[in-house]
Amino acid sequence: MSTTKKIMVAVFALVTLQATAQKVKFGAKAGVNLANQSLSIGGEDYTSKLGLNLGLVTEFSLGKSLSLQTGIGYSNRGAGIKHAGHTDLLVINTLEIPLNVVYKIPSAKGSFILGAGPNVGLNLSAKVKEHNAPDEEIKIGSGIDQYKALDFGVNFVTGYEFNKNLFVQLNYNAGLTNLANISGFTQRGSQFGLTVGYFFGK
Amino acid sequence: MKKILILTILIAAFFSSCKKVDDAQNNSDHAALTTMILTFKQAGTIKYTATFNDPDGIGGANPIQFDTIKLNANQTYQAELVLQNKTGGTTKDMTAEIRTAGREHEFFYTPTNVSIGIVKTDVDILGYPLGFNTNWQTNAATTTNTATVKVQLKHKPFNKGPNDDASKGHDDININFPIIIN
Repeated sequence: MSTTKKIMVAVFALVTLQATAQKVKFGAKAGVNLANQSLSIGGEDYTSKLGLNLGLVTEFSLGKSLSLQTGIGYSNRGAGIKHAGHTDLLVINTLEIPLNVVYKIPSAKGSFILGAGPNVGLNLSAKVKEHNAPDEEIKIGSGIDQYKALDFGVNFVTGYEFNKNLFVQLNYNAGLTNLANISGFTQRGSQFGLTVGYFFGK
Repeated sequence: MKKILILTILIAAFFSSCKKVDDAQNNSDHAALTTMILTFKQAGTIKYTATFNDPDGIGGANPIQFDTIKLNANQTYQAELVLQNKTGGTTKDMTAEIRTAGREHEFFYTPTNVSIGIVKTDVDILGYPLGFNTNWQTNAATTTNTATVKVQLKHKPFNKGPNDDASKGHDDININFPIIIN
């Protein structure tokens, strides 16, 4: 299935679900990411890098146990390289639009959640933070030394929503887009995120 | 029953996706580089070898060997560079390790007060210049004792390109060899 088709299916699903949605909630969340990159060819080991994530969440309730969560967020992606006693960092700043179908399992004080769905990332900027050297920008674009702007991925989310609006989520985003523009070479990002959020109102 | 099935599928999907994906040919953090040996050949025969050896690393005691490169005028040499770690009294060859991590490394050769053309002849896994192997084209004899060739190994995490200059990245080792062309 082409990327365009995937988006169309996602948008169609969103519209259909919105039409049948019973209740809408808004919230905000913040947390930390463990980001890494996987490469198709060998070189130095990449290690996980700690970063921030922030976001606004909208939830459309689709019944007692099913809902749709979307929103817009900022995510600090990238990776690290341990080298000669120091760590060099790759930092990618990305705007994210996740769309997760979330299944809720009620419990005494709230509900466990499990969800999955597509994620559209827009890479805004990237840089290398080096040991004993100034930061070096990696441009976003189509050049061989640049990263692609659009980064499609898949989300998996689990967590717990407390009855009084508070929620905790553990999510994993696997990048599907090859960020690199070099022939014969692929680079994909992935992030583990731990977020705490709050739904406004009731 | 249906709920349990959905749950199982979601949990399976989550955990199977969380597996750490490793590089095909991993290479870990390399040890300190204390020793550089440059061998100059013509038609496969060794003509000269220049060594820099500082087993306690940069900044401690002075190097125990720091040769001047001595070559003849108007000649072409095939040079090969070897890197070693000699800390702790043992010699560990580092050349293969850095070559494997060529995606993040590149050598730069910078002559000062000497007319010499140095061209890298080897490439990394992406086909970008590496610089363990070089061709040296000497010209006129040196007339000053201040002639040098700086040999720099640059570490360029995440952003090595095919046409980089020596300003990108940071030094793994940086040796300024004195040179005499006769």
